[in-house]
Amino acid sequence: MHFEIPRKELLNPLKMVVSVVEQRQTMPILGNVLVSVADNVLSLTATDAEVEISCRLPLETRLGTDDDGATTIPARKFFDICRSLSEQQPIQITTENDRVLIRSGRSRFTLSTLPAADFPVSSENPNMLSLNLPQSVLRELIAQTSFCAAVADVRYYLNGLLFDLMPSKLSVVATDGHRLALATREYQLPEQPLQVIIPRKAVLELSRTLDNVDDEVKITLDQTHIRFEISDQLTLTSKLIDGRFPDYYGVLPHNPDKIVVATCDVLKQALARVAILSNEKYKGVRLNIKAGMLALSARNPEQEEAEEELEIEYDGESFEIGFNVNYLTDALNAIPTEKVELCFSDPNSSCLVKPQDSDQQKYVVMPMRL
Amino acid sequence: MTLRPLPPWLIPYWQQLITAHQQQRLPHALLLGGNLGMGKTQLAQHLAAALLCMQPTPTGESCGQCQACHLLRAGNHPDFSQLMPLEKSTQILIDQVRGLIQFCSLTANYGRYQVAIIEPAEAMNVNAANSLLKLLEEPPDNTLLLLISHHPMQLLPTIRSRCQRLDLNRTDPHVIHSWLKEQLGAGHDIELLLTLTANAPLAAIQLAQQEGLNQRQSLFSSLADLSNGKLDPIKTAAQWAQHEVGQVLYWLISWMMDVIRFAQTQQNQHILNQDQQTAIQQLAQRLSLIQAFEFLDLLTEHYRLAQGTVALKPNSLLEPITLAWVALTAPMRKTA
Repeated sequence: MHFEIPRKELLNPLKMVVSVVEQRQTMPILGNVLVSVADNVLSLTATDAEVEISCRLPLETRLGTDDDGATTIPARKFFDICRSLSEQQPIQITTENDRVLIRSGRSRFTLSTLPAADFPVSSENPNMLSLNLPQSVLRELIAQTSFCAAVADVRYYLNGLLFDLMPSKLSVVATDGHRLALATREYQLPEQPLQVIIPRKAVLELSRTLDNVDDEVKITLDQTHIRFEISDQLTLTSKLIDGRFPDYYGVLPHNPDKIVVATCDVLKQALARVAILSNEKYKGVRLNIKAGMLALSARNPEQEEAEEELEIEYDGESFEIGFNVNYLTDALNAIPTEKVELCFSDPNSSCLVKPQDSDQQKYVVMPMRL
Repeated sequence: MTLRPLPPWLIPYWQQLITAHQQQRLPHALLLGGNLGMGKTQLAQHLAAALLCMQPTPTGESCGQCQACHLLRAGNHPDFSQLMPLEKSTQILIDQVRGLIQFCSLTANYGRYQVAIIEPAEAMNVNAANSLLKLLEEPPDNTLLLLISHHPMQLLPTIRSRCQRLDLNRTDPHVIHSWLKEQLGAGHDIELLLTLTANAPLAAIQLAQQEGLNQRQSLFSSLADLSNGKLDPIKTAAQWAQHEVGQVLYWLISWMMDVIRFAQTQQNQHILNQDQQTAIQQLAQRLSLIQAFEFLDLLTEHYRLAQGTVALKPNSLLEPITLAWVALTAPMRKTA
């Protein structure tokens, strides 16, 4: 294998691919990046046995088919070398038996390799379901939900995002058992409905690579994998979590009768102030709701107290309810509209937080006994 | 991992497992039990390869040609995981088990089976074993956990009860005997080798091909020299310490047990160390049963220490034994 590429063209894709490689691996080859050249295209692939990222770069220098080939190079060292090379000189890479030679200007590096055939690439399944979404929409869906996903929970099916593909809409759901986030977009799905859980790590990698642009992302998925083709060059493939997500529809409060409308920013700031004196461990905040008025209060073990009142739109009977303030603030932070609706049915059941006049986002927060 | 052809005494077990697989009756967790050297690992590896292979042969074996077989040989198959004590450790730790749970919670890379081998299963410490229970209890589909254990009774009862057990110790002695003869050729006392290794053929081969038998011989003769006063107990302990302590103690225990057996029955047929008959008979006449049992207790206690998780200096484990042996046999020397 032999190719030549300008440093600036190689560096960014390589950085993205290498980011998935973990410091310590169970298999030595997972510390390497698969480099292959075919049909004047350079592909870089790295994986941690869970998420695989690959990049395809067109090579400008005309090559013969004799120069095609594939090998795997230690990822971290390869990236560090390319990063420290000079901006002006192109990088030349050549394989020599079981070594790879990197040259640029007057620098030469020889790295060890492992055979490309030993690299565990993800399998291709021709019968995959596919759909297209604008990058900005996918990015939004993830940002509006991923903060609710559980971290290293024994209920492993909660450590990820549920993509629920229904005939007329696409829902993304995350929950950690205390709160739940649901983001929905209208979408005509051409094929069978399907539910898949995408692991947390893939979601993090994905949100790093997505931009706020309208270019389409091609998503293909089957029972074991999901693949995001983010642009012509970048592809992210992830395994799925092999489990059944809880029935989130049953968790949503149905027909809540007490509907409070508040100004999102005002409520957020008031919560942030009151939270200072809440119990550091449980973060409890008391909401006292009367007609037209919401009183927030918090108390810590030292018996220090914070109270704040704000105006709301509400004309039902008064009641009191407690929440973990972080759960409320996280939900409010994800809501873009000016006004926010808090829907209650009674002080012992969960609260639904959503933007006013929109059903695209829903957050369910469990109350706490104070 | 490289697959060697299955030795003949494992074939019936293999047939049983592969038939179960072909009829989709394979359990989620298999506990392979049996003495060290029975070939449990080989059986587990063959089964793993067969489950992961993309084009298994009509008889169910792995093809050895496909990508999955290639990756498995290179040790890089993403749907295969192996848990064993990390270097410098004798235990399988909870973090390793957590990694396995994470591995099992995700879908298989190639959409077939996911296979994990835990070897030896008794190396899991209490925390690790307890965290494995949840996985054993609610296993994902198309996952096979293979627990390999030389001492299945040392595992938590809660683990044992959640696995289907396959005991490899019940093998046909004729098959093993003729296989060993074929492998070793003439000039080996196969009966003795098998008796010494509790009928484990692979352990017998190792014993025959390495220095094991000579070590054992010199160990027994130094016992005699110790009682004659020809050897110094501390120096002897230092010399023994150059070998593997567990093995040294194991030989001594089997020797002492033979002495007791003979003292009680006066029959040669019960002696394991058949080649040491005369020495054992003489000892059995000279030692009282109480002395013999006391010495055996000392040996087993030190054997347990040597097998335990605390790192002890080999010398300090063996010195009490040589000293006690000298103290035990010194009166005999005076009367003799």
